[in-house]
Amino acid sequence: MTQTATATAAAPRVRPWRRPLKRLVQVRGVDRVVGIMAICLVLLALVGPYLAPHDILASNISAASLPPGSGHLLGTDEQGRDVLSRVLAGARLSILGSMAVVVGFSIIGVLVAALATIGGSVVDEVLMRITDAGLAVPSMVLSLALSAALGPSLRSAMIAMVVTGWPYTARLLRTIMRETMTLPFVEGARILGVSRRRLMFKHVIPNSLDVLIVKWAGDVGNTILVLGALSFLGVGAQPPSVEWGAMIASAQAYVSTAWWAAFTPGMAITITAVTFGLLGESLQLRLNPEVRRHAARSGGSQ
Amino acid sequence: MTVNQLSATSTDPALQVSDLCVDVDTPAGRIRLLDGVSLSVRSGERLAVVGESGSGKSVMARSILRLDDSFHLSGSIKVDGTELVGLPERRMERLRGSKVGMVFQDPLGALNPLCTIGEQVTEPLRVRGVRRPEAERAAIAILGELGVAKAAQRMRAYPHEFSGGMRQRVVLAMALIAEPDLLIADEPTTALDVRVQEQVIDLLHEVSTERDLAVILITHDLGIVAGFAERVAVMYAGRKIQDDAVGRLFAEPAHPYARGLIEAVPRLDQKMQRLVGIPGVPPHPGARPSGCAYHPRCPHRMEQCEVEVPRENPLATGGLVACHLYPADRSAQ
Amino acid sequence: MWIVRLVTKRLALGVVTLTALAAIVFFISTLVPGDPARVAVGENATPDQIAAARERLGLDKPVVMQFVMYLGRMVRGDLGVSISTHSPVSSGLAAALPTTFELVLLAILLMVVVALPTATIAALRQGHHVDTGLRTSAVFAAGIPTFWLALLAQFILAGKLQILPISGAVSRQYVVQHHTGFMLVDSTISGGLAAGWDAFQHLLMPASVLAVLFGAQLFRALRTEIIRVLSREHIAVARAKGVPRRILVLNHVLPNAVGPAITILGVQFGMMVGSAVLVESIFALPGLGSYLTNAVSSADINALLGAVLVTGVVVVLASLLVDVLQALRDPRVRAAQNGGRR
Repeated sequence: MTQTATATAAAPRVRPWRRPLKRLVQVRGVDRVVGIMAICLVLLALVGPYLAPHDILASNISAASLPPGSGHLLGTDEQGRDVLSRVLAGARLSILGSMAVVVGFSIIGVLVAALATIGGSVVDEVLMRITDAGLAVPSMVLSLALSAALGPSLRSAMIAMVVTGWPYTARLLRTIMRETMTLPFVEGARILGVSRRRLMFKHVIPNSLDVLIVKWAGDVGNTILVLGALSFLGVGAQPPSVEWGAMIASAQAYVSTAWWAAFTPGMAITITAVTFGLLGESLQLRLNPEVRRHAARSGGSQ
Repeated sequence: MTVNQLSATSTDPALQVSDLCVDVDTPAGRIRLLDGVSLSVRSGERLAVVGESGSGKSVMARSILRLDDSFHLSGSIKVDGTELVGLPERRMERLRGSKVGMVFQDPLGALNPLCTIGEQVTEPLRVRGVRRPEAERAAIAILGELGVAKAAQRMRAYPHEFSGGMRQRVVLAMALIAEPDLLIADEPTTALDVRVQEQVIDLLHEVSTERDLAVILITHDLGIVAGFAERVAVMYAGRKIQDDAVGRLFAEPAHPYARGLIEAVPRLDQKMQRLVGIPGVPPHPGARPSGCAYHPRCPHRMEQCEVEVPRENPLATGGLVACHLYPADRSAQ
Repeated sequence: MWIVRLVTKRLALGVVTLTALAAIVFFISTLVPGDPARVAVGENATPDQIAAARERLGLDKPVVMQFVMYLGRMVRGDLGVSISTHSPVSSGLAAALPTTFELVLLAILLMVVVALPTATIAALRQGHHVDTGLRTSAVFAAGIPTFWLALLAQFILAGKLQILPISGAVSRQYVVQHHTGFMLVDSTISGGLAAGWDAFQHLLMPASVLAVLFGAQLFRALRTEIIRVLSREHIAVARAKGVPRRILVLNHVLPNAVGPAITILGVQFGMMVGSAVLVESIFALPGLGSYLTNAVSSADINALLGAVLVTGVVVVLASLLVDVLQALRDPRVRAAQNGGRR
């Protein structure tokens, strides 16, 4: 019963690449604004450091904690460094770092899900228990432990986030892939003797891409928050590298005298996280993988 | 026969719908789902409303109880003398269930999966302040009457423990427990298998005669109409196009569409003949043809049909029809 | 009985999950640079002492045996000794957990109290200004970094406006004896209602800050599901029976709509314990978070891994609780348990 429900709901989707791409070009309204914002943020991450009007590292105690205004548009921090310059420069580590983490754990998640789908019941059971174990610990806590074990650095924070991030993707994609395996055209190919591995790369993984893209956008938003938090706790980006969470950490002690030094990078994190969160939502509405998941759910509960 | 009964009845009709229009707002603009339907049901009368999907029959059923807040109603719906269009929601709540009961298409979806059968059947009484023991006694009585075996024990069961036919009996019990004068059954048999369909229709018939209950049966299945209803209203594209006694409608359908519908029903009492389907498909509510909405599919189409909406006129033989083939001056005699 | 089956099954699964987690944790501990035996006996130990420690800790045995021994110690509640405080990790965690629980539970209470009515209103008035406004707020609330919000709240509410205390668990004037570990309870026992109120005020800002992001997620899940339930046939049927709007929402819509929200709360519980780390370190609450941040700053690997395991146990228990709640809510779930189907 689950199978028929899923199959009818998802049967028309044979070429998963074309429709999303076509639809993305025709975006209008709020979604368009969100899309442009997201692109701008990624561009900022690429060129941010070159846009900085002031030196981002040289401290200048005589200009410390200047309020926003002439000379320094967003003020200076406790060491007299220009906040605007550092926020622009920090975009690189915060945004690109988060995107790299998401790419990393997405790859692992897809591979684990693929292996669990085609590897037989024993492989599936073992992989899912490991996945459950990963889900059982908040990524923040495990990341803290891992980055402390590896020594505090941006690299170990990123490794920790990849290690703690993949179980969510693996869980979701395993469900989607199992559904895909029961679709008529996939079953047909299987009966015709197409190898499991070929099936996986030709049909199953491409068919999961829309779900992955939606999740990916949302994940970037969340990961920016976690990366910022780890840097804030001192187990992420280390000075002298410039990162938004680390900026807030160093400005923390001076909030009462120079609130802007902590406020601005936090605002940058918020804007980025909200943008990618909204991007995920509008992609969700456009690519609509929810329909498939919902069909699977309602079919399964009866 | 019907005409005689009609003139003999002195009481108010159980339901009087006059010139009812229902509009709904969509992203593409306002769409008219129901376009000036008038209908009356005497107390104790069994009326079938038939039509293809999209004809507006379910819209009418749901509009009488004002179940969809997105519907914009105009015209008049009178139940037992009370005007429902524009009635405050508070008073509407009191009227639902106690004056008009309703049975729905999908008996599984019609029951709250988290509540026991007992809680759901007693609810129409409980929300009206009846105490629990009394309400439960009434529920057990009515479930028993409707053929639910061991009703007292089954009160504590949950909907998923019931079969489709049993669930429909429960839904019927919920609709009847507050003793309404009118029951609207919206495709009550569509989701059931054939044998159970018959049982449910027989049950409806029985309940109607025993309780002197007026029933409006909404269906697309003409096969179940003949044995059940006294009168049939045929709907097409949001309008009522014919309204006649059941025997006459089946014997000599006046409206070309009604004729098409009846010819499409397989008959056991006649020799095997070719089933004639109606060519074309019913129009979408947002894109209905001008004039008589049936004209693109009608074999007797005239120029007049494309521009002028036919009015409902009485037929010489009795009944009403909305078709330019039967102009008012000739048939009124 | 369904509850016995359910709990047994979930606990068995939980044990498997925790064993897998222990394996992960054990693996991480082997990544730590340096010789644990040398660390255990201190800098100035003789080679003999190190060898003895190596044998005592089982480090001369094969890795698999070491893992089994590690599991054995874990089951006995022995999570090792903290390098920084030189006291057992288990007692340190036991002292810290109640504060974190208190924080997270108050946050969950705030989330539910705010999200449930607002989501209901938004769903009932879908597409209206109220709905749009609430949804927009939720989108933004879900993107605010908790640690930053904590700093801002501290700066504005405690620093500028002085409505709430700036940090700590209770004011200095109250001497709180240890009874249960839960500050709200202990302070009330020690110093009466005034002290309890004081402790509550200290907890309110951290809990509210923690509730913002997760409450926004909860709101979105609830709103979506309420809209879905509203379109179901049995809601129309209940209306047709004459059920008044208020009873319709309370008895028919909400019980059917809270399912996904309960599941989400179960997942969020673990994440909130994680985010409590940030909030506690900013508001100087002596909970798991403060224990962890201390452990991080002194590279105290035993304490960190112990905390990972304990949060794992907490999360497994939370998901068990979620399953029991779902079964209590939905007779079909109970039936599936009794039927023994998977």
